[in-house]
Amino acid sequence: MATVSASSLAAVIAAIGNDRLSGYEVLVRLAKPPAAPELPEPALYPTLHRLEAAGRLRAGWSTDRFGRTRRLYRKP
Amino acid sequence: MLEPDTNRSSSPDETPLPAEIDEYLSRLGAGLDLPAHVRAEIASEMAGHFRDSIAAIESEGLDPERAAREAIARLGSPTELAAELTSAHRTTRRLLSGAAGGVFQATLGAAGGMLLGIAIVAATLCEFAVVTGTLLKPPTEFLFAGLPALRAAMAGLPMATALLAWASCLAAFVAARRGVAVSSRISRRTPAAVRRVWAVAGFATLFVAAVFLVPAPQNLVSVLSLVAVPFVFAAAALTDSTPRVSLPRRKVIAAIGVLAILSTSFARNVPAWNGPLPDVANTPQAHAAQLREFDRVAPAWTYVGGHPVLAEGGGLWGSGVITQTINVWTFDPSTVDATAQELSQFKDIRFEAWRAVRFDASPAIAEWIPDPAYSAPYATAPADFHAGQLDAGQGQVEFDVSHVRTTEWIVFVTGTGPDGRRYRLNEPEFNMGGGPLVSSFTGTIWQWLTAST
Repeated sequence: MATVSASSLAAVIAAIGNDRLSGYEVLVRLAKPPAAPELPEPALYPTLHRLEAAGRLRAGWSTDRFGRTRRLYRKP
Repeated sequence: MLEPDTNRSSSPDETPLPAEIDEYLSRLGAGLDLPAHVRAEIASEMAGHFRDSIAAIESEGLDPERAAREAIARLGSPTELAAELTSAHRTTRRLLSGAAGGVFQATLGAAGGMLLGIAIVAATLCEFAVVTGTLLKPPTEFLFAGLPALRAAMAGLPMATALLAWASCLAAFVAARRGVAVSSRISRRTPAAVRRVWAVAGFATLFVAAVFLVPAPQNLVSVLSLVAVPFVFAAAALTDSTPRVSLPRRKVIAAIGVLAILSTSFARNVPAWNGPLPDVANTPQAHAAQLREFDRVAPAWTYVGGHPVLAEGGGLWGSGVITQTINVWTFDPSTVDATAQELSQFKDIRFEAWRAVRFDASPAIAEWIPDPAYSAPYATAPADFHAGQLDAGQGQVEFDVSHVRTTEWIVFVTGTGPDGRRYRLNEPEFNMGGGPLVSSFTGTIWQWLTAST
């Protein structure tokens, strides 16, 4: 099992901030400075799901005006 | 195969995914060891990710086919991702929440199942009462509506234990199903993964409770019925969902309602039919045969005025206690003194509780006699007819027989006569309906199994 550092977990939460973001949007934010710790793309969704299971993130489904349905994450 | 959540991924504005992505999602789904609803959510989430990722890569100038391959390459092996996602969902916190939620829902299910089970058992008894009270009786007896026929079906406290055990079987079935479903959903373990845990834990708990902890009136039927409860629980936990039977619901409910009303109405007013009444009338031959059996307890003392010195004043029996009242014979007031004189010659007068068995004196006549398998009484108790009780003309004894499997009893009174021999002073006639005193074993199944007969 790949281990994710505490700083990566904190960076994911920080990247979400007060917004509601999909996994891909989190990935895009993490790729921009000053974020960008070591979080490979394959580890993104397991990390998000771990944070949700630990109660540090909430997730829900939303459909935007283009009809795209995405699972969005936010801080509790 | 990973099936996307159709409620979320079938938006008409979203383009179909390339075949490579479908293949990736299939392999991802095959690797996810999670309940179906979680796998569907992951499928929808990953489909959305691929759409966003492919669109972004295409905007960098790659054609759709290469963009799909690049998106797959960035996300890595579906097998490894599946393992990581499975691990992410299976937290200890969810496991404990699943266990607690499952137990809570199983308890609610057990309560509901118990109520339903009792209703079904009660309805079945009503039907039994109607059938025995109507079809098996002469029509003229309808004029003499009397005791509810339910009493016939409920005869004996161990039968009540058995009926409750049958209702408990339904409760166990519902509890196991709800427990497995809810704990699987909350803990994110597949139903297959939690079934065995539920089956083993539930079986062990219910088996220990049924066999060692719960005291109740018991006989062989109640013991077998109670032992069935943990087996029903384990079977319900281990098997797949219940097959659905399609029935016209309104008609079925209406039919059950009408049947219940009719049944209750009949059962309340139709007297019970217990089969032909036992003929316990003593023919001289049968009585003589019975007395010979009584003499095995002790030889009878010479009667006074043609009667035994003592006579039964009535017997009572409960779940595990038998009570026998003995009267000093007062048939003729002039004989009381004579009876007292007779009794005064005896020492060590005592009540003796003997196990009884049915003695078929003739094909039509049934009597009860001391069980020939035993040469001594089960219990004795002093009967002090000399200190006060004689004046009242009565003596009473109470035997606790709740921990003996034997259910039929005869109480004798014996005393040591002037010649130093023990004599029998009464002649049990079996009051209260012409039968022996009846008890029932009360205790746990283990106590029943290890009890003496």
